[in-house]
Amino acid sequence: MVGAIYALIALGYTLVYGVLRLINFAHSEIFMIGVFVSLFSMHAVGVEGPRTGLALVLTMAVVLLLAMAASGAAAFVMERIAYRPLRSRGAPRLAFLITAIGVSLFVQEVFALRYGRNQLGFPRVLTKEPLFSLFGAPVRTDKVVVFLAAVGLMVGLDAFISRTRLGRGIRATAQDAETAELMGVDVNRVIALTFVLGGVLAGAAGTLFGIFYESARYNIGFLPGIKAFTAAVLGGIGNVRGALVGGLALGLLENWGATVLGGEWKDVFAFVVLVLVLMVRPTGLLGETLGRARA
Amino acid sequence: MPRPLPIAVTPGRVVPVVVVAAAALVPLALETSWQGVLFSPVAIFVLLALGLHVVVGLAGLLDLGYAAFYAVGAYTTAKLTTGAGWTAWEALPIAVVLAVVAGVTLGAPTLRLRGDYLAIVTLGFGEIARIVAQNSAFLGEARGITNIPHPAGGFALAPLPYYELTLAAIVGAILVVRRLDRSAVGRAWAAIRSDEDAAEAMGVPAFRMKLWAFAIGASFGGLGGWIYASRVSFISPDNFPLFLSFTVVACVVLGGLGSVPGAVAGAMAVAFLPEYLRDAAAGESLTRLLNTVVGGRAGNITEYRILLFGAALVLMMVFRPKGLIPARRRRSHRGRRGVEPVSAETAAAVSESPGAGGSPVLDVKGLRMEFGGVVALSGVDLVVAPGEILGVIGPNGAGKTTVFNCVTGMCRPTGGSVRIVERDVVGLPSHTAAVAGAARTFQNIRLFEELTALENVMVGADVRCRAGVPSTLLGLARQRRAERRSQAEALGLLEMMGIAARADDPPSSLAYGDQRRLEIARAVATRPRVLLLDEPAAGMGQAEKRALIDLIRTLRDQGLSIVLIEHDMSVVLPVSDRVVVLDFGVAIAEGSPEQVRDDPRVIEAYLGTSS
Repeated sequence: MVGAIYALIALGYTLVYGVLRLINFAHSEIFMIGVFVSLFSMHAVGVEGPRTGLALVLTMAVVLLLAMAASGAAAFVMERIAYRPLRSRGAPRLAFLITAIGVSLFVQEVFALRYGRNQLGFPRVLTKEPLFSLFGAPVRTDKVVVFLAAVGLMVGLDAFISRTRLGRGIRATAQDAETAELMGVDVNRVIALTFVLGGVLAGAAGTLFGIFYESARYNIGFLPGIKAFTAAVLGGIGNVRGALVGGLALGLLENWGATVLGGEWKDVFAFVVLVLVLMVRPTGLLGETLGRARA
Repeated sequence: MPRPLPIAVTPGRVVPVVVVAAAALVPLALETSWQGVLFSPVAIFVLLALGLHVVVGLAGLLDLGYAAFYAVGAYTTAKLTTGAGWTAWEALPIAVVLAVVAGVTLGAPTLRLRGDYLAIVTLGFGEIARIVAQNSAFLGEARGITNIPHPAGGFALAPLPYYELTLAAIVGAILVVRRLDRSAVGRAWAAIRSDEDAAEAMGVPAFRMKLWAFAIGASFGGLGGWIYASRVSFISPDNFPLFLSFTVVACVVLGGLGSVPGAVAGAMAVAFLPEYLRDAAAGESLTRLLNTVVGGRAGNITEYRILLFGAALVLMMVFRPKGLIPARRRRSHRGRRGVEPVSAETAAAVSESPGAGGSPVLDVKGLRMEFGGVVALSGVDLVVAPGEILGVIGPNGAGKTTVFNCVTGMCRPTGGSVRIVERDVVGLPSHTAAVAGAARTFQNIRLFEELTALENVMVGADVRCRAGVPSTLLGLARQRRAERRSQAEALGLLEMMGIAARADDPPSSLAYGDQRRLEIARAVATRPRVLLLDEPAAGMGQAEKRALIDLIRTLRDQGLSIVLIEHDMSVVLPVSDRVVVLDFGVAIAEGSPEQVRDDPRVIEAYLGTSS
């Protein structure tokens, strides 16, 4: 079900790409911040063992909200400090990539120096006991909850982008930023909002990741980041529903690859998928349009 | 009486010699531990930075996995010497070649795509290379490979000989980089960096040139890996962490993208400063300050290295994007002594390429172009005879520029055929159109801003005599002749356009009309059979328009065919032999200028129905 987490992170890449035609390399650190904030807030609400019922729902809600808020805020600040000055100067694409790398290194190192370079464990909040059996195979509770939460968030985003006024602004900017600006859309605000939305989802992904894998580390964003990017490209970067499809597809492919090749090659497998997609169909499964897609 | 030296003594020649001599001699006086620092990280980083300078600075490609090539060089050396019993010197060429092979293998699928993808693919590759080394028994897994022999010839554990060796490699690398940068190869890279589509339209094979940059960069990395493995005689995956690649990027960016002194200085600063501050008092107080700000518990400044690089990258891009030692504006004075402009007439003459005779130079049949559901062109036919001036007019959005884009391969038509001088070019990369004999200008002027006016034209002239990377590196006479010829022809064309005095200026400093003329010169320099002009009169005054008409006629008299997209009837009608009218992606009328002017369908298309 890790595919659903990839999909959540992938949405951040896709949203920003859709609006700015820019790959925000530092997005993986936004996710990492989400993981750390989830860990801290779990300690803050005193999680010591698996919770159930209302207590579980409340705990998860609090942790999710805090992580989403922190990551959203981090994404907002990042856009302000690192990207907007370049944008207003009309800097070349290479400059954006370099700042993104700079931000990424900086944020990682702040966490490494503050919290050490070792893995930090999460308290278990969700039981890993089977919830029910599907065709004789046990299905773990945490997988079900994580999956449902991720899908719920994605449906929410989909609705936000297609139904609300702000969502319309995002779609308009994605299609043609200049015209959108002429039509009275505050493009700078839309861009900031896009970063925040992506950040919020990455924060949620951080919580779910933490609950599922129960560990945090300063460089934990790297691999999920690359994989989520692969998922975004696989589904068609800039395409919201593509991110969902790509994430789930990559999760399945990866599990299959790990069974066939052995677990230590799992991370290589995702990368090979990325290169193959770029070679064969760089626009991805569902094509490359936030603007045109109804989503 | 002292005889004059055979080589003039100029500061430009003396300074590098002094610097190299100092770099070679000063370490002799240092303690061994400092000699060690000078070898690694300083000298190694300088070499790696020079390699990445070719990739990022010259070709404008962000490679985030550069350390992987370094690793390929080191592991190849280790395996060949410990596993296959080769000597270190025998392993050297293979280490470099395998690094190049890795570069080409990685570059081939991704260099056709946009730069962002390249960045993330190389980032992944850098990590994958490490994971492979870590998990593969063949490469020693996490334990690495030990007992790599030192090269024969006075090399043992002491760092100094390796430092001197690396210094020699650095000098060689700088010579290679400079030679490339000042040749047609460097112009092609700068053109790609400035505007890849326009470079392709001028016949620059962008993909191949980018692949070359990647290969050259990788070869420096492989060489560095060989030196490193030979010196330390023990390598493991830990020697090639992800942040090594980022550190090299930091070297290149901080020093100044595209500048050799910048790359060298950047590498020295990035490698040397943390080592220097490690024990210094300033370093200690800085560490304490940072510990307070970040809330860290670092023991010394080197632990803050990566954090500071990250911050420096962002600050640099935001406040000083050109780096510490910005790349100098290119000048083309060098080597122009003795180069006489070739008269424009000879330069533009097409007598060299007879062949086609009376058959059309451009033959477009049933051209269709759909973007998604929008049909921009639905079956356009255009035939241009040798020496003909064809006007193409039509309201906005009629598909005029799309025709040019399809002819020059900038977009791939969904149907129909395009033949340039009897050569079918549909589906071929854009630069083949220029090679086949069709050159264009752009509606919104697209000059190469990073090159001088003269070099802009030389990029066009290079298409017929582009010396490749190998002959440039070897300094073959053929390459030097080609260089002089490009320069002479380009100067001739600038004279013809009346802008020779501005040869060394950046295009953006030219007046608008001069920029248009410069773009025409650049296109003519490819010696096309057919010249495609996209609204050349836009923004010109009456006098300039008259001069433009004269220019178009002169070019035709020299044997060129011309297709002219233009809104301004005072230019199209007097100059064209024949006019085609496009509307909604189809030709609605065709004939002499007079016929077209009086055609009711044309009047309707422009003014709406008169009923």
